[in-house]
Amino acid sequence: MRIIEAIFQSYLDEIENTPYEENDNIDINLTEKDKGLIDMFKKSAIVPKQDRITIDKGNIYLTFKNHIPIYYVVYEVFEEGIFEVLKATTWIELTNHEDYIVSVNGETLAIEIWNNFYLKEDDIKNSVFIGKILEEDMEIIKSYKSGLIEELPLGKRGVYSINPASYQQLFHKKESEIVREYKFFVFEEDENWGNVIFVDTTKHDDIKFALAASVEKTTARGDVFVLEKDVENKLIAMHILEEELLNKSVVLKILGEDYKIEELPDTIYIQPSDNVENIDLEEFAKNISIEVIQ
Amino acid sequence: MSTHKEIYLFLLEGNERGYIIVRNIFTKQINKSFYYNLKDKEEDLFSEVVLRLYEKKEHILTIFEGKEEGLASYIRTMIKNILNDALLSMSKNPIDNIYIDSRYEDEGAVPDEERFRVEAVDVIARLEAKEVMMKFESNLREEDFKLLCYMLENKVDDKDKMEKTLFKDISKDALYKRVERLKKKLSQIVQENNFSEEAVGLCLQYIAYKKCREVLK
Repeated sequence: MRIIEAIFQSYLDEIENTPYEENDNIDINLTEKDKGLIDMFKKSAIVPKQDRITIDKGNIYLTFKNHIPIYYVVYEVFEEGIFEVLKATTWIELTNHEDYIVSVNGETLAIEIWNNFYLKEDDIKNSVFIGKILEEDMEIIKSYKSGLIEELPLGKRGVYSINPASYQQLFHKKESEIVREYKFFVFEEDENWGNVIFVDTTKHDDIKFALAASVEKTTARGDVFVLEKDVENKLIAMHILEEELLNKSVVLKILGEDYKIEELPDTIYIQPSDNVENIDLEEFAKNISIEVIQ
Repeated sequence: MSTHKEIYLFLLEGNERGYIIVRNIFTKQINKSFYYNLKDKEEDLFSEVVLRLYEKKEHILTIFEGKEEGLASYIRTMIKNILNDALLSMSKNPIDNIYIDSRYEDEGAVPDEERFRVEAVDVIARLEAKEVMMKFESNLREEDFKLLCYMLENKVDDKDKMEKTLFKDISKDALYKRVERLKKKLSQIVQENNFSEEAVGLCLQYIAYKKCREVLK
């Protein structure tokens, strides 16, 4: 087995198989070597004390979804009590050129700049605080995400890889799936914000106007939907035309990403990471499809 | 008591049951088929895990202070990092003699103790580059390999020379078609073996190019 394949198998094992309880087989005899190792810990007992942590941009946290460890960095305050975060990973060996490698308190992590999602303040408070990344690293992440720099610095990024069959791309696909449910955010308490999907459009130049268009269409039609720009709210409304689809369980495919929706409403709002005014709706509509889940 | 709590007490004050739990996590992990090649290093690797825990115990105890779960997963991740590094170390020596420009020229950029983790990317890229070459060699006929060398040659004079010696019996048009066919074949090998573009690039730029120079000298 190739080493990268072994590492990828180990990664799949981590995310797909529930780990067994580890407290079985507990009454084993300890060797002298074991006792020596344990003694090291006995002789150096400490009293840990963590200072109160305020949620801040650049903070790295660890949380768990079922048994899967999810590291993330706080990227931006989205609105009061809600934060945009970027997924991070310890699987450095599987990262590609879009992942930025940082070291925090002795832990090496790669920040998946392309893999953003949203968390509420309480979710973050309940996570394990790992540390804070350097200001200069945060600047590089921001510059890359906003398109100010086209490449991450060599030596601080993963292997260049766009081949969809490469282990790095297979890894990216899985990483996106892990946090997919946090990308589709439903703000139940605020009806105006019902059914918002946040879509990272940063790397999709094909759906953006090359130059600021003076006369642009504010609606575009897809096969079963109409898109409509809502510039004021920085959203694109997607009105479903096919009544048979309503309330069905569907997978919405937007720019190659899947978003599972349990009951399809008549309108869904898409919030692109780019300015809504720069989105070419007709091109965008070509990149959207709906599939009913049987 | 929960697994999490037992591990916490092991780190805090040397609780024996917590130690055994860590050992169990390690044993189950190294017994997985993908870590088969590390089996004969099991004892040394476990000592490394415990020493790493010892070095980092203050940090770990601090970040998990007041938490009710997560330590077992955290330890599993740490063990995985150590096992992956060991896998990469095993393969590091054989490829050191292949000259590939390091992506990490700035020695001061990363603290020493974290260097190996960051270098994992470099090692993976080099290792994969070598594997790309092995795949090309086992799938390409001698004629194809000459064609590959022709493709890689970027000096016009040398390219002309190759056309007049290696491919003197075929027309330029036929040569062009052969090159296109070879590109397709290489692309298929890359797809079938899940190689990254960087690995292929390193292979062509350094390993294959050097081999061409030797063979066609």
